Amino acid sequence: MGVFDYILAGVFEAFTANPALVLGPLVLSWPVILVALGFFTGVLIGATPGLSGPFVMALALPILISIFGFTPDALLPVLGFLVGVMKGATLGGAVPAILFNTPGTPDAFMTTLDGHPMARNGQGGKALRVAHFASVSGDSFSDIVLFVCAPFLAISIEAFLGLPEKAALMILSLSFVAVVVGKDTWKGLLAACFGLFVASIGTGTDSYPRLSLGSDVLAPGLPTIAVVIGVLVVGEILVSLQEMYLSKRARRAAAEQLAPGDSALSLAERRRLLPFIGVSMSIGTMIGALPGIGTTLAAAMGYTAGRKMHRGTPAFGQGAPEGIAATEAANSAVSGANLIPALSLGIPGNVAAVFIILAADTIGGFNPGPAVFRFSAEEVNPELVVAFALFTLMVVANLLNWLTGAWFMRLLGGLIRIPKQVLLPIVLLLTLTSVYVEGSAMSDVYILLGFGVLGYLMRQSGVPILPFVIAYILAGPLETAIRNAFEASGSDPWFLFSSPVSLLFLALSAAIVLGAGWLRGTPTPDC
Amino acid sequence: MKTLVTTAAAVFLSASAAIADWAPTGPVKVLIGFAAGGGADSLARLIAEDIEAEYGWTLIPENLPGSGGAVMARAVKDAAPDGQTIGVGITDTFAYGVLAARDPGYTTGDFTYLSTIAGTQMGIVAKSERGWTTMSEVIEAARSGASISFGTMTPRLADAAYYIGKVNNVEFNIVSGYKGGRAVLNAITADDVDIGWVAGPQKAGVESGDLRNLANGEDQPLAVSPDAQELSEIGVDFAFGATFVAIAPAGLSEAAQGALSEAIATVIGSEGTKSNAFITRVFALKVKTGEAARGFVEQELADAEALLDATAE
Amino acid sequence: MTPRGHLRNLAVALTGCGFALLALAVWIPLDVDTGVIDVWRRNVRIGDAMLPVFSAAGMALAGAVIGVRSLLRDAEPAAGRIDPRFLAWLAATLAAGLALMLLTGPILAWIVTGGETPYRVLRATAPWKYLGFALGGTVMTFGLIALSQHRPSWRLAALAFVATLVIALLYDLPFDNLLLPPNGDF
Repeated sequence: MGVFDYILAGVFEAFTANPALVLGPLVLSWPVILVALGFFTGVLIGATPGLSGPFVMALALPILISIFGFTPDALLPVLGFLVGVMKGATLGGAVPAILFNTPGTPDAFMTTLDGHPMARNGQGGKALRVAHFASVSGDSFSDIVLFVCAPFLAISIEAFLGLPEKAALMILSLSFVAVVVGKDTWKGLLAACFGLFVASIGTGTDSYPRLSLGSDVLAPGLPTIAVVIGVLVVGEILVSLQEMYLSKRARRAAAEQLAPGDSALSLAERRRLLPFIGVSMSIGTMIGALPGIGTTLAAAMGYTAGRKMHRGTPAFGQGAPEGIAATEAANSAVSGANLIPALSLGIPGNVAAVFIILAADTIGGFNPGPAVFRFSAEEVNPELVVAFALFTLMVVANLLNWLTGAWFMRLLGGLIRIPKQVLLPIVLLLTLTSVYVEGSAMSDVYILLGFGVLGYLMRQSGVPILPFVIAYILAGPLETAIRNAFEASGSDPWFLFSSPVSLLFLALSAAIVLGAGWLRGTPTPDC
Repeated sequence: MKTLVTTAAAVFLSASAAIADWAPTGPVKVLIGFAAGGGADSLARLIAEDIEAEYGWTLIPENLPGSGGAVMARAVKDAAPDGQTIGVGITDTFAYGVLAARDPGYTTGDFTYLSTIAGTQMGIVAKSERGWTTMSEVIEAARSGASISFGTMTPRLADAAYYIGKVNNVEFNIVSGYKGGRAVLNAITADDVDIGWVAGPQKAGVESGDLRNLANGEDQPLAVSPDAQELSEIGVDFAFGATFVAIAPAGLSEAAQGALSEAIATVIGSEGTKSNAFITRVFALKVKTGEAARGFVEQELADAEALLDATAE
Repeated sequence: MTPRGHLRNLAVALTGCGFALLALAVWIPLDVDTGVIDVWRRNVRIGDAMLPVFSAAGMALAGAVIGVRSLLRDAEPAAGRIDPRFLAWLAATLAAGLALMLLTGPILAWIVTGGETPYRVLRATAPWKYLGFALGGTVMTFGLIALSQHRPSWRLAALAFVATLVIALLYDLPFDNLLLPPNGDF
């Protein structure tokens, strides 16, 4: 099979392999339905202050796996849903930022700066249009870069890097994540090392499950989904609950509701936005391709670049559509590019990628990493077909976004908002139930809540969460790579330092840890 | 040969029709001892699909790779013997694996052997572009100072690699961490290792000329490269083929054992099923159920002892 | 700037270092069977202790640096607040909710059937399967709403109950093979 055949097979797989509805020649497949469902859910959740994409992914993953099971047929619907949520949530975050001056997601903060003044001037609808246009352009661009780069990167990695180099590359990515996320290098390293330690419980190659304390619960290893969702989502809920508990103004300050108003965006206006979108989406894509750097940093950098380029009135910060465009194009461009390290190296760079890798691991049959992109001619490589089908689904999500995103955003502006105080406890119960039904054991729930408290303590002490999660996910592949590299070298204790490339990677890791202050000259990204 | 086995399976089936009224009361977990994408994995998943289609039971495949199938074996041993947990692995795990591990955590007697499934097409594989055509040439290269890494996926094959080196006075760098033949194949393709044991998935690559079977690990010629060098030519008198087997915890009721064995034997033995098509394409059908399956594993146990004696220091 | 920031960083350092040293000195030696390097049947391999030892050592190092720095430097970022009263309320609410979830079904089953039918038999039948989840879930949800809202009211209690019921039905009605908490544990 050639490259073209694979792409065709992927497209075919996405649209027809798992049909839900067949009307003559028209086939509506489950993956397509799920990607649409994910997209609309994502916009809705992104638009709800206090919730964000990871919440939906956390809740949905165990449920989706229960519905679709562990067969390869389940991969595309589940991954499609996650991808849809990822795209939708970024877009949705702009709605409350513009209309209510409260960013739905942290990266939409910069959108409030110009979006809300525009809404106050009766241009809310137009601001939403600008946000949508910029967001969807950035997203589409970033996806194209992903489609081109991921296979290319994977093939070069596979061709040029041996075992020690791959192990060194993982160490490099991990130190990069540890250092770049959060404000403090050493706290990041602490979190990453702790993640590796937790991942070693109950695993290993010996017959005795290491560090299992003789417990049957720990022996098969901690339930990955409970650990990840606990630290990421439950921890966040607890922090918000405490915030509301401490805040004396228990009632939500009535948000200033503004009618969207005029919403036309002419072709000439769109053309004026294009340079800003172009610069911002390039920045966002580059940032996104580096593991661990979140959308917030991209948004900040896009906004700053836009401000430097901007001439005329209104100025940035006073309702300039260019400000919204610069922010939204940058933060939306991150999401596609984020999947480059995830799909080509198996190294998750952000929360969405963590959930995608988690889903792939749990279902089986698709192992993100360089081996996915083997264009084997003599025999179909099913993983590559899945990868191209996933790309197809991303295109479907983008088309959906172009066609319906703006309309859906306007629709949401009018929705009644549920107060966070009521929403979060319900979400917590939902999370707990969702984790329970997957494993049918209360121990999973205790582990979820335990890691939730840990996540809360880490957040309140400035210890970043993402390095913990990524190290936890990466521990298995890293250990295997190091074991194999060691044995392939004939048990040479210097196996990691034997080739110039791995030496370079390790030197870079050290340089990153030591030069952290310089790397972190910009505002802190989200986790 | 194939028809013979199919007929044998059919005869066995008609005899056991009386115990066909057992059915699982819930979903059956199928624990797979090797990583996703490999031979054992594809085999188990296809059998599960076929049984679901044929019998209407629900089967949930789950990969538990590691230690050449021992991780899966321990999980099956600890499961309730109610027919709702079965394992798919290779007989190695229950023969050589028990003897050679420091503390395997299970014994051969801890299991009910439901059915052997298929025999492998084990070969020592390298990329054609390396220029080797036989294992002798690799040994020659190692003798002249090249460092050769040898990928393996079970402790027995790691020992086999060591033994080949030992009788030929060379030392390979044995990489034993791979969780299945597919993983070794990927490592060979990516130049992570120079040569490695692969149990059947190399067929397509060999046919297209990208890969080569340098030596035959089976006791009969490989279907895809019948002229591959025999191990006896390099002084090794063992065969290292493996047999895929389905197991359940010991103490399984006779009715459940009969029904499960029958289900597996039926689907792999019937032409037109997905599993049958896969086995005949990549491996060789090998169906023994009940006592015959247990006897097969015990014979392997005896053979394993001989190999262990030969490789002892 | 706040002294709290210093103390918090010191606490992080001590927890990290303490955990790592405990792991290195006690947990890993006692609870891992193969060493950092494992020699078995003439193969020299990386043992199961390698990953935990390296990660614990990394934690100890990072903890030490954080600790020393918090003692030396005076400019520290302020720490988030960890409110003991909030945590106490949270723990009490979660514990009460989980306890009710676990116990309601078995206790009611014992009372109603006089101890003749164990809960295990009833766990997948309505209304038994909903009892624990509905009561425990409602208490937990209501407790947390009240905690963050400061104004418990019957309306909120009713809301919590309805939300719990909706969640129960959401999982129970469409999926035959899913068990609500805590029914899988019996």
